[in-house]
Amino acid sequence: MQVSWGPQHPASGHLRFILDVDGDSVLNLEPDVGYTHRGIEKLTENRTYLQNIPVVERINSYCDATNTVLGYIEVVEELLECEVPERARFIRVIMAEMNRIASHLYWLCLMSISVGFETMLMWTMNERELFLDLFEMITGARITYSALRPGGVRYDIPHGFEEVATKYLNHFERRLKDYYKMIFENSTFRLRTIGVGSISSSDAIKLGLVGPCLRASGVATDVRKDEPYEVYQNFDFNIPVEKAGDAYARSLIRFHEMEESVSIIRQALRSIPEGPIRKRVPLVVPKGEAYSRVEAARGELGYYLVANGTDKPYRLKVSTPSFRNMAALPYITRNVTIADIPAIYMSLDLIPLDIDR
Amino acid sequence: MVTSILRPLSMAFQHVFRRTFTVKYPFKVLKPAERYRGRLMLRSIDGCIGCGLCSWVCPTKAILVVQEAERKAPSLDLGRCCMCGLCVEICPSPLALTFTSAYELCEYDKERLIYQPWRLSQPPAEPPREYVRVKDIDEKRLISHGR
Amino acid sequence: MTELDRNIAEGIKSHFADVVLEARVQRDLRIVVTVEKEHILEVARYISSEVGFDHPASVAAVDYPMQGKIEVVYYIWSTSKRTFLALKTAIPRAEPKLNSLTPVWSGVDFHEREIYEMFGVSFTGHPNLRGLLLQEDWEGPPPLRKDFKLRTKLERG
Ligand code: SF4
Ligand code: SF4
Repeated sequence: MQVSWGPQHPASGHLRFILDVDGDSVLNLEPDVGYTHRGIEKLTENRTYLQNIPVVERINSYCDATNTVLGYIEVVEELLECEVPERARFIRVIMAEMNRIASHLYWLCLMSISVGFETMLMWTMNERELFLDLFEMITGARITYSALRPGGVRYDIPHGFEEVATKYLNHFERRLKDYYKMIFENSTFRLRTIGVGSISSSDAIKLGLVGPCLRASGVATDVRKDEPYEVYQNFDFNIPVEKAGDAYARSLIRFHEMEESVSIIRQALRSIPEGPIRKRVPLVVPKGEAYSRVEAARGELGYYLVANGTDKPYRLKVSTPSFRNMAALPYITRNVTIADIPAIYMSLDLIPLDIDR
Repeated sequence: MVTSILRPLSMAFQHVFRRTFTVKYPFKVLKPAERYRGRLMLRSIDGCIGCGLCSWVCPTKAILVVQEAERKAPSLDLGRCCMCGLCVEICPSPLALTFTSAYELCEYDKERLIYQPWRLSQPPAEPPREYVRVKDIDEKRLISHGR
Repeated sequence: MTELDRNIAEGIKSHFADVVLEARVQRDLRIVVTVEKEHILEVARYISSEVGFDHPASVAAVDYPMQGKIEVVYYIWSTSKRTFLALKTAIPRAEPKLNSLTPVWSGVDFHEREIYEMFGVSFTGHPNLRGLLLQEDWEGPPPLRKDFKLRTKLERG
């Protein structure tokens, strides 16, 4: 029998699954995406490089705006061959890591309601608010910042930011311990996620999974280490890796990533140099092509830019992490029960906006 | 097994005695940060030199430079504006475009979303009410937005 | 790192002397290999099994109407060698056909479906070549080709 799941289902977002079921077990799952397709790749061909910043931000605006724009800025800067002031690079890293935490908190909220745990929904939203407050202090916006520019950043860190941020981070670290006790040691959560939707490391590589989903299968790959962009080589941080590859491992990776991000923000705030935050860059990008990779909250995000020497991109191809992680969905849902699908789907952290572009 | 269910319960129960984090919205509002990007405002119509750069840079074509009396000045379609700030950044005149902290921008009529220059130069109306700001986090892990 | 990249590029070039048109190192961790479209499958098999590029990252297509070609680029990461490779080929715009690389990297499945939909490139050997993002009753030219024009009229006074 075929069952249609979504696109209006609370545990699927704007995404439809076509399930072939036999009784309660799923024989085959096919994702049907495209409900939020906005044609961003085409839109960017008609706008200048500067105007494209708010546009590409919408690829994944409500979770991970900074990392999404950071990839675009990187690829433009590679073709411009411009210098970026050191202070701007630190501000970018701070914002990117704050966004990673905010995004993982958002994921934890969705993950916990998908297994029926509504307390965590309230708690994570509470702590995410603090990070949105910090973003509001820096950029004046809470979700879509448009703060990064080729050649630097638009907004400097305001006066007194460091104290507020340190206070919030201290609070957040204490809360993380609570989170661990609350959800990762909780037997209900463990029953719903351990051994559910596991994927082996060879399959994960073959399917091209990225980010926490790949690291949960035991593959230590992180763009921040493999190909350090910005100033990530200056910081001391670990890449959490798990072996099991199931929904619990993926959750645990994201949890530990939040701790690492806190430590990166601390180090960055401590060592941020003084100086200018922005250099003037030309509006016209020289002819050429480049591919940039950044580690967004959901995994590696790639931008492929073909420039033809005008002020508009000739072609901008975005390879988003959710799109790549979606490839795992048909594989890991074979012969699971229908009740496990929300947990599996949420543990992959797929965002339909990110898939559809 | 049982403890792992009871412990979250007790942890959640402690929150009953904490102060609320949320704000009773229409009666009390959070004060936006200093740099908050709310509705655009023209500091003064005379400050605008009519160069049209804001209209050129706007990615959503929300700004159109129109003829206003003797001069040119921007008109804004709020339905299109995404508060990205590119226009404020590029505006060469220190007396023209700026952000305000107004964020309650609903209108009953679509036409009203289009701000002609004279209306764009009016500061947004502020209804009388109480503003609160994030309070301190004290040692007992409490965080609240004030009473 | 660049030393390793150069060795890989030269290795591929010497193994397929007459098929690989170009193998160069663009910068650190960016190897670009250009092949003829008829031989993409065998080159892909070689670089996936012998050289160790196993983690597909992206498939992009670029339309060049003036030259009458569509360029298809596969981006592959190697988890063992820790470097990044672009496998490029050009196909004629009038007859956009290419061997699917899903037998080599099963992760390119959705990427190839997207290219099929957005550029009209049909991949022979793809197990499930259907539209992905657009609505089912979509009509008109493939939207990411250059001859598809956006409506950009601004309607307001
Ligand atoms: S804030 Fe952005 S979208 Fe709004 S008018 Fe200015 S440039 Fe246009
Ligand atoms: S608002 Fe500023 S940018 Fe726009 S026309 Fe006036 S002076 Fe020029």
